[in-house]
Amino acid sequence: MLALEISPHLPADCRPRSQQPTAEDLCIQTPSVTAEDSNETVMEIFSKYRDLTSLPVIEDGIPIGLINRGIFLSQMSKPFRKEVYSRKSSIAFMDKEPLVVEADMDIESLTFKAVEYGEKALADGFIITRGGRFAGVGHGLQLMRVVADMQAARNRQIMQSIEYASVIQRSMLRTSRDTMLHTLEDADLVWEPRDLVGGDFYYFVARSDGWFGAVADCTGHGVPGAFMTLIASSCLAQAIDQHGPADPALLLGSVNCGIKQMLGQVGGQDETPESDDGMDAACFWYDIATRRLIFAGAKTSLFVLHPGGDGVEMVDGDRKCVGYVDSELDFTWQKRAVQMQAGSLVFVTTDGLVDQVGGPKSIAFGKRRIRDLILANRDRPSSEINRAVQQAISEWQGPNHRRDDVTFFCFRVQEAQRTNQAS
Amino acid sequence: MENLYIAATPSSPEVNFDFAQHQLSIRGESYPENAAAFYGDIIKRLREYLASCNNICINVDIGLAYFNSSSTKMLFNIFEAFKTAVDAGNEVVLNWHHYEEDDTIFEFGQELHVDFPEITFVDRPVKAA
Repeated sequence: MLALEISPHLPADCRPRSQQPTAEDLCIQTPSVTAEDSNETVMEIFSKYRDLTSLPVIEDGIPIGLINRGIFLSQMSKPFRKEVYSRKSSIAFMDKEPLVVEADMDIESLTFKAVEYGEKALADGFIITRGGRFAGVGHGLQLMRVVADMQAARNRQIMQSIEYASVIQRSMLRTSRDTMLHTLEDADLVWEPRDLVGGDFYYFVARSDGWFGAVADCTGHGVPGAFMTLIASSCLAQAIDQHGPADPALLLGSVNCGIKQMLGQVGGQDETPESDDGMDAACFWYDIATRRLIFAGAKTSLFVLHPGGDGVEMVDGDRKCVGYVDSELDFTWQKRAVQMQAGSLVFVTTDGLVDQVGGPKSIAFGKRRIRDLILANRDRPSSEINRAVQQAISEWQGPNHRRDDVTFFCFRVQEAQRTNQAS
Repeated sequence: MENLYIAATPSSPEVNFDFAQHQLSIRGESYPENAAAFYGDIIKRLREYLASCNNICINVDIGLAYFNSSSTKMLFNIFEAFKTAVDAGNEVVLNWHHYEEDDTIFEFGQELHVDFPEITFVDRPVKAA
């Protein structure tokens, strides 16, 4: 048998983190034979090493084949084979074309290669060489293990990154949520990103004479959606600083310009900008003294139910999105004033709730079901109305997966608004 | 002109543009992670085809149970292309398929009808079995 030059093998977890695993990590030192060795020797080796599934055959340090235990033993157990082949060369039952890979081959290439090579490479294993010289054998199961570990590690890395992003996004929303909870006596807001972070956001500001609220749905979901919420909410914050919170239509116009400028959607007509992103939004200002709700909507509607009212009224916004290439820079959204009464209910949602696919025919949840739910729960606090909506959408969704981020907000106009609002 | 066929995935629709027969269909659901990437080539091919049409009746079937907002943008680009084709002297018949009780998709179709009067819009409610 040849003396093999094998460098000390490092287990995977000793390697520097930055280095991607290669075939080297799968390399197992194993007994080998040469073509001069007889089948008798092969038999001895297989008897000695019970776990050995395949035995490499080496010629001057170069691998020339792989003997599979099962095939070898079944061949040798046939009548007279032992007598005929025992003294003959080990190459008699050898596979002359095993998969041979270099030690520095990355795991992904190796996996594709092994799969392409077929079952043999996964069952018998494959030969690993260094500079063409025999280094050891790799096994299919071990390859699977390394691939699964790599997959898990990549996934973990992405998930940790998104979890961290989620902390940032939630922190951004916390001030608004606190403002809402402190300002409104009977109000509730559900914010459910589809994947940890999302493209929906909300914004609340309280003043002594009223309060401003916004529920918005930016393009996309996940990470790109979350990027958009940062852009859109900082545009909105700036607009409020500049114009005050009492004119939601003006604010939508201002956010429209802000998004378009920030994403380079203005200018050259002929050159298509890379970003065609924006948002749908409902913005409203509640004036305490007059109990009027001033609403401006970009592809978003308000559901309003007055005490004693027969049904839920829809107050539709404009059918024009904020941002996006085809929204004009100077577009003016309509301001709609809705006279509220003590006890009036207002519900607003992003399209994630309306469009969620489910039910017996896998169709959208739709607005009608929302109206029915509001009606059926009209005497309950807004938090309970929202719980009912949450339960209904979850039942509707059933085994379907969530298609989009979902945000909805419900509040009831109070008899006499609290006067101790933030100044 | 070579026909365009893209098989459906859970998050992207089946696209079957039989340019030779002037039969175009999009069916399924549409919420790919990158809608612009998914629809980019489809719209390019569609525009090339429409540019070659002259006095042709183009039959379009759209049956989408769900599409997200970025897909909506892309659908509008498709309808814009149809509008241009009508202005150029062709006829586009848009069959808008949806379950009868699916108000959301039905309403979207009604809005399309208003936004694109050039396109011959046919509402095709499907009765559930």
